Amino acid sequence: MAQDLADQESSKDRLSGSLDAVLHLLDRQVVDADDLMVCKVDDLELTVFDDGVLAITGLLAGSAAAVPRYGDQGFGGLLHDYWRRLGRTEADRDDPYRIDLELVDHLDSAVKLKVGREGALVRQGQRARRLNRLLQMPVQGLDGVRLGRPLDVRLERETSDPGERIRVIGLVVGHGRPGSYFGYDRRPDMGPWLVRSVLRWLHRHSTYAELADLDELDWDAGVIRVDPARLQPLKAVDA
Amino acid sequence: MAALSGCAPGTPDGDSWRIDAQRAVGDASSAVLTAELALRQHVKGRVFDRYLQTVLVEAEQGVGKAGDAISTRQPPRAERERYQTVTGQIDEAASLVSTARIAVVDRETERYDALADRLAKSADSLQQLEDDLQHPPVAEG
Amino acid sequence: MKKVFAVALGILTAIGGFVDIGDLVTNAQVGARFGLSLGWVVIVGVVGICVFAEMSGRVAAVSQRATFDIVRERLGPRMGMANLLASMAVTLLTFVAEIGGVALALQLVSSVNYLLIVPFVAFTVWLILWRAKFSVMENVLGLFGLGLVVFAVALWQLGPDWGDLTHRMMVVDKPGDEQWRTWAYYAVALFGAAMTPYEVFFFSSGGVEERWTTKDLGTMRLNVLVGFPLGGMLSLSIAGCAAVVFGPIDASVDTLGQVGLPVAVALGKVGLAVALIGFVSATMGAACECGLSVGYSIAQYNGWQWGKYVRTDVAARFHVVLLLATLAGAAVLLTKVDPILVTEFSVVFSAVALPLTYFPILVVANDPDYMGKHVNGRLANSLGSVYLILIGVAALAAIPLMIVTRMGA
Repeated sequence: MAQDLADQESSKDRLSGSLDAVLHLLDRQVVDADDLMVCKVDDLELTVFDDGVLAITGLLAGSAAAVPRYGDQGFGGLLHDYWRRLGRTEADRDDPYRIDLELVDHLDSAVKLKVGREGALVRQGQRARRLNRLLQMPVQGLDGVRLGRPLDVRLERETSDPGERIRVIGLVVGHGRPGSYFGYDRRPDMGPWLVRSVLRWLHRHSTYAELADLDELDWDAGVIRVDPARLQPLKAVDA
Repeated sequence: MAALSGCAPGTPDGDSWRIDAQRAVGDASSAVLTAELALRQHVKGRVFDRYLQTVLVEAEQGVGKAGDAISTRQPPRAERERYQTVTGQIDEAASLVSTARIAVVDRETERYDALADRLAKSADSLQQLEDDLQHPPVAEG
Repeated sequence: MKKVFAVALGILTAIGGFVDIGDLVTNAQVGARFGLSLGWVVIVGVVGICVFAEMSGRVAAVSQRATFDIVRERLGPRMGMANLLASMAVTLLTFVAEIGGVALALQLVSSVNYLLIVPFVAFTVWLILWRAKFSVMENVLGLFGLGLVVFAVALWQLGPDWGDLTHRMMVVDKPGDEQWRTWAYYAVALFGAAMTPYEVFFFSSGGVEERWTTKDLGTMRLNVLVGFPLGGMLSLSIAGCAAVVFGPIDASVDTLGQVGLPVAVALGKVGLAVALIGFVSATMGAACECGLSVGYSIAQYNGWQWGKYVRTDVAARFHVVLLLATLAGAAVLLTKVDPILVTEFSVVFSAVALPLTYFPILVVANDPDYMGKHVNGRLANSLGSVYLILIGVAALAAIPLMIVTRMGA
């Protein structure tokens, strides 16, 4: 069923501008060219390019991508361990299904693909990094004091060469109390009043760090270091 | 009578049995009343045979459950006499409802009125017993 | 005529929320013990479900995203899974109970032991879920389920003291021989039943099944405004009938057979026959609603294709889930567990599932990404916030009350 053309405003493509990865992409429904459902965006693939750019290059799905989302400590960690143990005989147990970003047509209330869903999910070997790993890394000040962790990752579509990548331009840093997925911490005008007030109060300490201002993003050690003085107040992603 | 019933304070155990007994007697009297109501409605031609049968079977099960619930519980010493009364009356009610159910399954419609009258009496005495159970037991001597 | 069927989805959803097997007996039980003094809870519940069903219906029409899709997207996989487990428990338990309920209703018609009817009912339900067109299912079951309107007619016929009845309904009070905590338990249970999560799962997914778009917002609202108040009215009628017939003789109601007796008293065999048709259709409708909701929730959490609007093989996993749920339901019932007890027990899980379901709906209905210009207005937001608080209170109170009152004994 085609949407009313007059409603194009609700189907504008978020991927052409700036967006927040967790708020706008993660856990969204993926829909194919015929409007049939494919999967959920269980995780996002991050690639570190030679010119230092960190960009989203693919959508990840399947249990290999979803199970680590439950956390790497406590119950989530146990679950991941157990799940791994159940599939020890499989060489590609940790290899998630992948949809290349090239196949994505646009993003509104769901991720719409350019192709049909038949065979759209492919295991392509574990390349690059995952957004989930980045979200679990603690953010520390210069003296090792814990400032929080990344609650969200701000993305922006490159307008210049090469290849219009969707690059990471900054991190939302906070303490991850309930409500971090709702976006109220970034949108001052979203209703209803009661929910907005409570959540904005809970997240009053959330800040924003530009990627360029980070001192260190150590994937192997799993830690992010930033000078607290470089942290900025949090603003909405739409100007 | 009222002064005497104040002599034996309800122990925690005694109260708990008493409340359960009240509930069981209440459930039994509800089932008996339902059976009576259904029979009378059938006599007035307002209920189908099969519907009446199912209601009677359900009522019989209800009284049975109530009896089981209370007869298997150990009564405290002070309540032994009332235990006999309660289980006795519920048993009587159960056999009466069974008689009614048998009559209904065999479609002996001429007996329904009389059975309904007997059920009404049984329900009356059960409700009196339920009221009596509102108070702790009368002290001995 | 088409207009009448346009509101079938709302009516069928309301049937599952207000007159499923658990509600049929509970409403009569409450009526017998408390008169209509808990009637205001039903009214509060009707307004609440109208507010949130409208929101979830609007989200489905504008963005084509059904409720559980949104629950996972907003809450994340962990809290989303917690909600899935809790609402699965409610929906699956209720599904089991409804299959039993259809068998109990058929037992009243045939006097065959209900356990013998269960396999036949389970098979029929599965056949409907697998094969029948969505519109045919909702039209037939919704229409015949409306046979329960005979309770309103019966209440009229019984000629109660209307002034007294309505007065009792408006005043927050209880009959002398009942305790406040039992009253509170039934208030929470009725409220939870009126706003059960599977109603919004079914309504929003049904909206996608009906291929609603922004042009159908009017139809969607008509469904809400006709269906749920009608359901509430049926609830109150059943309670009222039980209050008039069972209240004076001080009997409690716990079987389906007792629920129908007031109609026999008022209208004789004709009324009773209509009531029986209503019982069978309403429980069958509720069974289909719950069964489909099980499939909808699991498929929407995982991102699988779901729905009857596509061919069976296109939504293969969805239909496998439905088949397994039906088999499990039949198996559980054949252990002779009391279906009505099962619904009372599911109130526990409802307490957890309610806030986790309605919060994301309220948030997404405000999100311009999903809704474009159809975001919530002031009225929807104010009512939504008030009800979110009420839901939170009910959720916290449900389990302690259940324990303290021993499930309303």
